[in-house]
Amino acid sequence: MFDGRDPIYRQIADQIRQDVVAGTLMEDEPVMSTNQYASAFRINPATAAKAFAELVAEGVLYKRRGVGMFIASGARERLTRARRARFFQDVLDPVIDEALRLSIPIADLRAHIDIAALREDGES
Amino acid sequence: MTPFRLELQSLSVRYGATRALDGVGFTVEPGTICGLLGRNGSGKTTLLSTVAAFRRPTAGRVLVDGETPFENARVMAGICLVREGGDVLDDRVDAALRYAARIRSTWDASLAARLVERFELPRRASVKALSRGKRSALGAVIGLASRAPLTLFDEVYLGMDAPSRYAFYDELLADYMAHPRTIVLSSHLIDEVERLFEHVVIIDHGRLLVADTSESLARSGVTVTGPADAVDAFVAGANVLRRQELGRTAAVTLHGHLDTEAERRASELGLTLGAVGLQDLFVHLTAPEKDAA
Amino acid sequence: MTSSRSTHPRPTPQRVAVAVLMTSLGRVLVWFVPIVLAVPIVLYALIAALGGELDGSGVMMGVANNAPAWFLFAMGASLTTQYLPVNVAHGMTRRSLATALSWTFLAAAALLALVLPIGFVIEAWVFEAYGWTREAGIGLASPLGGLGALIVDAFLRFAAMASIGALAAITYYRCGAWWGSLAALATVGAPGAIVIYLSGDLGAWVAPSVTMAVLAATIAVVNLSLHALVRGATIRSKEAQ
Repeated sequence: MFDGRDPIYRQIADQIRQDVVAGTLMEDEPVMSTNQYASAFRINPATAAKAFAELVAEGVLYKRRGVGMFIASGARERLTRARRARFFQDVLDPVIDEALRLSIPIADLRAHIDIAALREDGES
Repeated sequence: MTPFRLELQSLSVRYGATRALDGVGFTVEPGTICGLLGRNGSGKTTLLSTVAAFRRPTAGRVLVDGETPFENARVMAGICLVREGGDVLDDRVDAALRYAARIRSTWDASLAARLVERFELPRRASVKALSRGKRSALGAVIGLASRAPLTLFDEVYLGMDAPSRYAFYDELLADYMAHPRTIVLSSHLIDEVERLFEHVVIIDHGRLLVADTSESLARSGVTVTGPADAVDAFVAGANVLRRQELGRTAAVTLHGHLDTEAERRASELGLTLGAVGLQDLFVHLTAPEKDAA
Repeated sequence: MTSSRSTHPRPTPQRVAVAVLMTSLGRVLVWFVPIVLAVPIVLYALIAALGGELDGSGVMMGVANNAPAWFLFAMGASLTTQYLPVNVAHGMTRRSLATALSWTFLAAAALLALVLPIGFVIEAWVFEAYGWTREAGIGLASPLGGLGALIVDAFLRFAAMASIGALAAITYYRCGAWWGSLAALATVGAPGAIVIYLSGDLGAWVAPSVTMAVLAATIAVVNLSLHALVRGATIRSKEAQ
């Protein structure tokens, strides 16, 4: 854990976002306290607090006085929507760039996606 | 006791003709953990010794909680410097701990007892008979149980095996969170301790190289890898710490922050960006060949 | 303060420093005092066993009046170098140690000066047991006069020697072996010569009151120098020692 290029607090925040989107962390459920995070990952509590502050500002977490941090209701929906909005730019564009570098025609990509779509239709 | 603030104002210490510290200035905010990094002989021990009132500065000032610490009874009572070997009473382990307990008004005896168990310190053994690692552990126990508002650990881990070192980091963090205080930790084992730090100070040859938050320090270095000519075009004019070439591929380590525009350009050029760990950044910044420059 | 659960007022660092030095010294004194008293008694037993006879307390005088001086000289030196780095590392000022050293030296000197009359009482019992006659005055004669003066003289000499030991040690600590040895001429040589001269036969011509005044002045000067040197001392790192 924590070996990407982003600061550790951002990696913690990303991890929590990921867990919310995946449904591992449920809405209105408590998350670990900053101190528990700090102990568990042997990091400075200020680093963990910074991640939490970012998530509170984003509306992913909310604070209950004297109790701790909880996943905000609607957080999963909001995060999913935000990811969806950035999907083409953040995920697909690099794939297309790479395909072009490898001289893979766009048509082949499209065909690949069509197969996935057929499979999904078949499953559902 | 409330944590102490530490401020160094162009601090210089000279031993005869040797400049151990040369105009070092930085601030450690109260209640934070600061990492003090430097190679052997860079002046870390001299710096911490001056802060702990073990010695007087040759020039400049040290301010601890707003006051000069040297022979200042109030401030000295709130500083605990643990050096290698430890300045403990030359007696049995339990006597040395009792001595510290008697003097330190903030001493926590139950914490000390628990740490003695955890580090498996032989209570009845003579301090002189302890191995290097156990002696370091005794220093760690005193440093933590003293709960001094300004606690300084100078290479406290020397001789301690990995499990003991991680036990120390865990205990340090846990007790720091339960009883916030200002902590300065000097270390060579940067990979092990860097995440404990909120601030990092790097000194080299007695001079201050970096004093920054660990977060912005973590972003202050980047490696750029890709075709040599593309890499060289991209890094032109930047502060290059290191350049390696393998065939037509070059890997360049930069000191500096890349903005989103630069990141986009790098990806367009097919360059790979990588993080520079604190350890690597430290090695590059204090590399001997930088001296000539 | 988060962890001082005790409701008792804590002793001042100064008191702690004195108590610590006294305890440290006390642990050695527990052995030293009985030995000082035992050595003459063993010697008397040997003399008696060999059929000899004594008429004065030269032995008790020699041991109880001189051994503590050198003992305190050594203790003064070792307490200074042992506690200086430890106390500063535990957050105490050098000042508090210097003051504690002075008080400890005076207390230990007073205690050991009282061993002398106790020795004479024990010696009287031993002489009586062996049927020896102890001539009044022999052994009790000091350059200063009677027993009271002897005790005061011992007290001043012991206190002076402990302080000189400490002064020699802090000079070594601060200046290192080479300059420390050179400085020993001033720190040990000069005051030591005064103390030894005044308490020996050579000083017999000096009026007792003058002797006491000079010894007291020597103690004052040595302790003031000790304070000055301890207060500015740099606590060296282990590897530099």
